Amino acid sequence: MASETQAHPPAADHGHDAHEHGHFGPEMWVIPEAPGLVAEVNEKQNAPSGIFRMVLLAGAALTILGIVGFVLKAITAGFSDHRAWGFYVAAFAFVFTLTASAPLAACAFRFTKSHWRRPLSRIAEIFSLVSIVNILLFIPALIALPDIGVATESGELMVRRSIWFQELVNPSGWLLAGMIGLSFCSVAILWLAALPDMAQSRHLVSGFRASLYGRLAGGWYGTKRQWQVQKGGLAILGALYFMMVVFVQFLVVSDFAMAMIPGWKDSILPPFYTVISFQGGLATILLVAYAMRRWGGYRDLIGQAPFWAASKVLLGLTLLHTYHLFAFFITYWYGRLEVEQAILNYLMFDSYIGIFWAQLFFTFFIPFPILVSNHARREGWGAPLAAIFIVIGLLLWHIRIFAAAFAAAPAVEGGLYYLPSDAFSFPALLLPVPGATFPDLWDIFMILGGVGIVLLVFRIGMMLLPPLSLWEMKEGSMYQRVDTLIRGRYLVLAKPE
Amino acid sequence: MATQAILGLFDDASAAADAGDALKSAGIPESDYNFLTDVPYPEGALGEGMERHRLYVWPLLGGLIGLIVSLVVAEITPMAVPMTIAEKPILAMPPLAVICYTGALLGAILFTVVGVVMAIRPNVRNGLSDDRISQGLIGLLVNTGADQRSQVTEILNEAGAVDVTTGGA
Repeated sequence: MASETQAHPPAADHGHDAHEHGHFGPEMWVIPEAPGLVAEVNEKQNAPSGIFRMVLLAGAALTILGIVGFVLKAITAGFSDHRAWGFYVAAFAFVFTLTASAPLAACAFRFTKSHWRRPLSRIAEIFSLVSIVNILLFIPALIALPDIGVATESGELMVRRSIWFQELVNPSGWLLAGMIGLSFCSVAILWLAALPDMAQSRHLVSGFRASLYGRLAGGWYGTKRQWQVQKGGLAILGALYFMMVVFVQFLVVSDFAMAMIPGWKDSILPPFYTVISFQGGLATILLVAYAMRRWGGYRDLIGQAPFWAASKVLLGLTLLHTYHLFAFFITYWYGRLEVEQAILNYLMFDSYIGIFWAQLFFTFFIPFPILVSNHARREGWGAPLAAIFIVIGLLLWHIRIFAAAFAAAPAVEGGLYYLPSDAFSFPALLLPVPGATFPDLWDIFMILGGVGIVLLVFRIGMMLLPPLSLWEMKEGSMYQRVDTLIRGRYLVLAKPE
Repeated sequence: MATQAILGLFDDASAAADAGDALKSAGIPESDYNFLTDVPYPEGALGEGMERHRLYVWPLLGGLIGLIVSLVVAEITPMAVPMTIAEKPILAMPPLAVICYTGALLGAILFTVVGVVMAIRPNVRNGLSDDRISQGLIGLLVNTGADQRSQVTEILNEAGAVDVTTGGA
């Protein structure tokens, strides 16, 4: 059943188009007819377009490739030398960066009560399912992470600097607990947000989905109290998720990047990583939304407004990314300590200079002019186009930071480790500056597998759950309409809170 | 006394609100009827009373328990496996803070989910629903005794219900 929409409302009778010459008119908004929305989305879900089948197949193929690469890497390199796993950790961190922040976008934009976010909410929340995969991907990275304290053959204790200094020999338990907590929270957000939609779709689905919806949403009636608990629960879990995701990002980047390069002490890196994650998460959401709109048959449900509005947020995050990069650089460049120069040379101007400049082009020089352009933003393709470059740039960023960090120093005394008495007496140095490390075939397989598993799990999530937040879109229809003011047609928004 | 569920379906929100008012006037307690909607209506839009929940207590409680547990675990660990490094103390606050923050958040998340699961259970005695609610109709579910059944049905019909169904006992 195709619902009628107000995607292109008729112009006012007065003959004057108030939104000509590049203004932003009501034609950018899609206001679906609420009564038929559940059936319409269910119909689209049951008859997916070709691109979704392609995504599923590509995701499955790349995932298999990744598993093959992982197994062969484990057989050929083992886990004794952490340097062999730099590209795996980069792949994991890349997946984690993009997907962990995506559910936060749903929570954050819901906090702001913006109307344009409604078609994006569920897309963002479905990334919660990938967080379960993040736990699995995290385990080999934890195994590869060198212990904080190890004994030499003579029985002396050697330590390496980390945020867990003295507290734990191996912090894997707490790191894993953090990752599991994050995943649990995001899945809880997904369940709570999708609860009304699953209940309302129950009578339209069959087989496994009917059983799943029955189990997960059997008790939902849509009473006032249930709506209030859902709203309160989403607010609290959203706040906790924000507190958790930023913290787990801090742990990941501190333990798997900063602590792995001798002498790298940088207070900017954790917030830098968080900004990157927000940028990557939003870019990924916009890419999926655009694919759904352009090729997936959702054009009558997803308008241009979400892209137009989100592109400004993406522009802000892109600028913040570049600001943090510059702040990182200028502090070290001005400080000029030997260790600071060594790190700059290693990560930016010598060993990884090529990948550094490529990343800078992909994350700033290319997307910035696209996102600044009013035309590109308004037409809806600007933000997704910029997002493609940003995602590629972020993959390069993760290789430059995580793969380089894991390859920087061996787990021996004078490398990562110091004797306890030396640990604070001598500045850790990265000298001589090591050369760049290149991926072998298994590393490339694992990086591709990281991308593939995101595609696969996300696509499965879209098959299992309503891919749009139906109750939010229906709620949006209640609060939005196109009306005439003097001679122009405008979008009228209600803000009950 | 056994109660019965009566569900009135309305295609107009104002009519549903009028039916709620009429039920209130007829002496039906507010706890005996619920509006069933496919979207969250703004507070008071249907003339219903304020619903309160105490969900915020759960993360506070969970956070506190998580904090205490992680504090205990984080103090036991370095005592069991001490790593004496230069002049640094065995129990240092910065890494302890990292662990306590993790524990407190884990506790808060876990308890919030438990709280949500408990609080979101349906507050209706005899459940009765209709698929048409997902298409925008508003349901008014009344739990009433057999003696008031005909009166409630009449009120719902008079207010403009497009359908009235009965179920549960």
